[in-house]
Amino acid sequence: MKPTLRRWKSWLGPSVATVISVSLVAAMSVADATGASAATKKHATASKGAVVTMAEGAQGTPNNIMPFVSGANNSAANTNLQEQMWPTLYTIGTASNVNAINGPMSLANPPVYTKGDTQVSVTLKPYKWSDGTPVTARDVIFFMNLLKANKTSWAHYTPGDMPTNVVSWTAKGTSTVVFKLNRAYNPTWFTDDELAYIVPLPQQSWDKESATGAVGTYDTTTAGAKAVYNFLNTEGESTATYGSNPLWQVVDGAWKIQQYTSNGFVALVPNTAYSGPDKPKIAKFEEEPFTSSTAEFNALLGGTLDIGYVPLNDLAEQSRVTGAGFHVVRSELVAVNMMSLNYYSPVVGPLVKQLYIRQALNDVMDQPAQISAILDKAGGYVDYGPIPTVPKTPYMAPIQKKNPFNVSAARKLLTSHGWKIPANGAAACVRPGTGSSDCGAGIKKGKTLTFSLLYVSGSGYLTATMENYKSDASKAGIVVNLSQQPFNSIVGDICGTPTCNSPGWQIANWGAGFSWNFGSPYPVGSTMFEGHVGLDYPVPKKLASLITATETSSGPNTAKAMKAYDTWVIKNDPEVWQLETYTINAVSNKVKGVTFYPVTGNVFPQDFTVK
Amino acid sequence: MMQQATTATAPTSISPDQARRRPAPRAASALRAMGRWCRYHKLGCAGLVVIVVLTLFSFVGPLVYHTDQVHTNLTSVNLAPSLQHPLGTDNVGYDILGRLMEGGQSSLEVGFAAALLASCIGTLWGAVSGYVGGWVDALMMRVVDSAFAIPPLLLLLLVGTIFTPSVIELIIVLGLVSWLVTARLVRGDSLSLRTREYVQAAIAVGARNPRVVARHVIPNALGTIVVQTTFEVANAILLLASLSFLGLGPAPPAANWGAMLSNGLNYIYAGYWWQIYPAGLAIVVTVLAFNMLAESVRDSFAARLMHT
Repeated sequence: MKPTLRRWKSWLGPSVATVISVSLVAAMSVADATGASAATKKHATASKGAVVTMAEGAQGTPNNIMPFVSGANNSAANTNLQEQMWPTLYTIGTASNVNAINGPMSLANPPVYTKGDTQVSVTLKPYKWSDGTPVTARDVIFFMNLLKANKTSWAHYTPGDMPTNVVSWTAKGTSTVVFKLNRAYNPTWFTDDELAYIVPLPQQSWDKESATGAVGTYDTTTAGAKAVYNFLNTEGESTATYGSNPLWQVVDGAWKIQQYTSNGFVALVPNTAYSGPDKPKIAKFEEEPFTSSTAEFNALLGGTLDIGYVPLNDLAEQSRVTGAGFHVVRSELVAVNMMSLNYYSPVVGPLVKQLYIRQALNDVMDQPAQISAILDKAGGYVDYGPIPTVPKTPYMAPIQKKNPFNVSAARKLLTSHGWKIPANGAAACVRPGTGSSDCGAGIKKGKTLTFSLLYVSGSGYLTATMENYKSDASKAGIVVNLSQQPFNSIVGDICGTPTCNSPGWQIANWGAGFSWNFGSPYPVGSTMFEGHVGLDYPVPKKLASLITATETSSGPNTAKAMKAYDTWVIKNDPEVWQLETYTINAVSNKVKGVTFYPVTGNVFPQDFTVK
Repeated sequence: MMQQATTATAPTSISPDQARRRPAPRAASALRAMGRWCRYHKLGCAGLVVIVVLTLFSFVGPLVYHTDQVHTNLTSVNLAPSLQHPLGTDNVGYDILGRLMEGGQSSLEVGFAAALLASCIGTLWGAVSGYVGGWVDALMMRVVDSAFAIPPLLLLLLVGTIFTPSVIELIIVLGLVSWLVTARLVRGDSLSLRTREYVQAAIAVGARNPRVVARHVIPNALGTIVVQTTFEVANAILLLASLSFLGLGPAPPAANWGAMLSNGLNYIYAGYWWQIYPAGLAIVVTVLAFNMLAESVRDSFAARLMHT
């Protein structure tokens, strides 16, 4: 049988199918806007009736609306969304001053500290809930009562801090709350790291134990406050009802939720009863999810977004962005970036408890080379410790400026502690024991230096930096096995105590590091190391006392205390520090009033106008 | 004894020259047969040549063209093709040509092994189902129908999300989602074969069912199995590429064509074509070659059946 046209056709079918399959998979990735609708089709030419669509970060989409954030839902995406509907008492940072209280975005007047900084009075501005009732001191007390009864469920809880360090909170009139503290605190820290997390909640609507139950004063007893929290938390888990649940329609912020889909798409519409100074001027604000930065960039250039970002692997393509009718705005968070180590892991716990191993893990991270080669030199900056490099503060100790990258030093650390490094593969412990030149407690003979490293998916630059880290680590006999998971999965596994910690992970990199972007530019260590959802480092007494000093010292002693804390942390390397990135935002030239606030990284769409 | 030995060995002793030439007729015959086959199945022959070349490229290539595919090199990232790097470098400095070779190894290994596994499972399942018949056949085929309802990529994504698969795990998973077509085809053959005289004769002389299936049913369905296995190699390679493209294949620094394509697409706006086309072409050419070969093998078996 000779080849004929029919036979050509017979193999052409599967072959064409193959090509189409490959192309489709490729197309899926490029355009997997995951619900990214043709948003621009709805764009209006004037503010009234206009829809502004903003891209959500590839490393996390909002997945919980309840403004009493739990550890598992502690993400900038959630906080930034909640803030549009339920603002905190204080928003810290203005466009020009990272440390200032943002007056127009804060629900209360600046706090007044008295009695040697042991008492603070907070007076609310005359805001109203969307159901017409005023926002009062009772709403702040409602939050505090829920917090007292459910403190371990709160993402920002740190033992010894709020609410433990507040002896009492009482209403003085309808709009003032007086907090009596258990000792004198640094007012900057207390405002930035304690008061700024308080979210007045609508007591007149939410103080109930079930959807059909009557509103009461359940929060005034511990049992009642627990029941109310459980009810609200359960409702908050029900993402399918976000647009229809009457609970979430009672807001004091500028926006109400209209729609939420399980992939993270959010549509907000103006709260018509909003009593704040800056009323929304557009008809709708949408947040679009993307599973990869490439998909986001494609949508941005394709015109389906008004506000997005330039992926860090496309920094050289900014001219395309400006050519497509956008202007580029660089922003950064008050943040540090690190990979967390699982001290409670039965497999690698004994390893990471050894200082020399943690130092070796830091010695094989080449941040300058990664920034230069992977981030086009301009997409990020080095971070060797717990004090943010950007913006500059008086808190950083000189030791933090030293680049630890040194593979030879890592090898020396390991060999001098009883490890044998083969030409290829993982180093093995040959001198078990607890002596100064032995492997250390809990490390048996033959134990290999192998770690699994879980990092967040969807980011090309992060994959490249992790590949580079693995490569450099292997030169020191440290085997790092890489795997990826979505952001929400990774942060769901990590928490700072052995009881809630998932033992499966060993090194975790959720991409965003630790940011004080939930309200504070004051890089205090308590939330990072001692917090309920902080890193998994078992805090020694020395560190705890240094952290306390940063919270209680004031005046010139503040910088001194911060430097002492910074120095101790760097000498003990509790985590693996990694580069921090800028966000290169792209804003449509048609949309005015877009400001990326330096502390929260958030935008306030009520300021937007569309030309 | 020495004499006996000499006497005994004398008739079989051959000269070195003869020893070299003796197998020649068989080899020549095989080559002639291949030539005849190629004359009538040019596309299949082209596919076979491509597969042989790809295999040599993937497995012999790295012995000739040495590159480091384990350690990144941040001093030479995203380099365009040059004499030093004929296909350029990627975003962490891996040489793309070397990476294509490494990726080819995993694609072919996984493709062949997964196809073999799928064929073994599918053949056994289909042969037993068709031979036994009745409610057993109905039940086994409903299992196949149910499994068909689940898109394999969905299953693979699920598995890939739960754990980061190694090559062995990938082979098992791909094999487990790819046996269904083989089972159906072999079951069809088996239904027909069980009524043949030689099968009936075997049963009549007391052969037990497993023996009949193993010695009479499966060998006579071999044509179907070989053709389908060849198709399955292509499918497995494509599935592996899809999975890796979506970031759920073997973890870096393991090279994989799908992952290379995915990574290259991050730089599509930068114009780094060398990070996209080679991997994409390798996938298409390989899958195409296996499909062409399988089609021709199927035609060969069909022609033989027509003559018998």
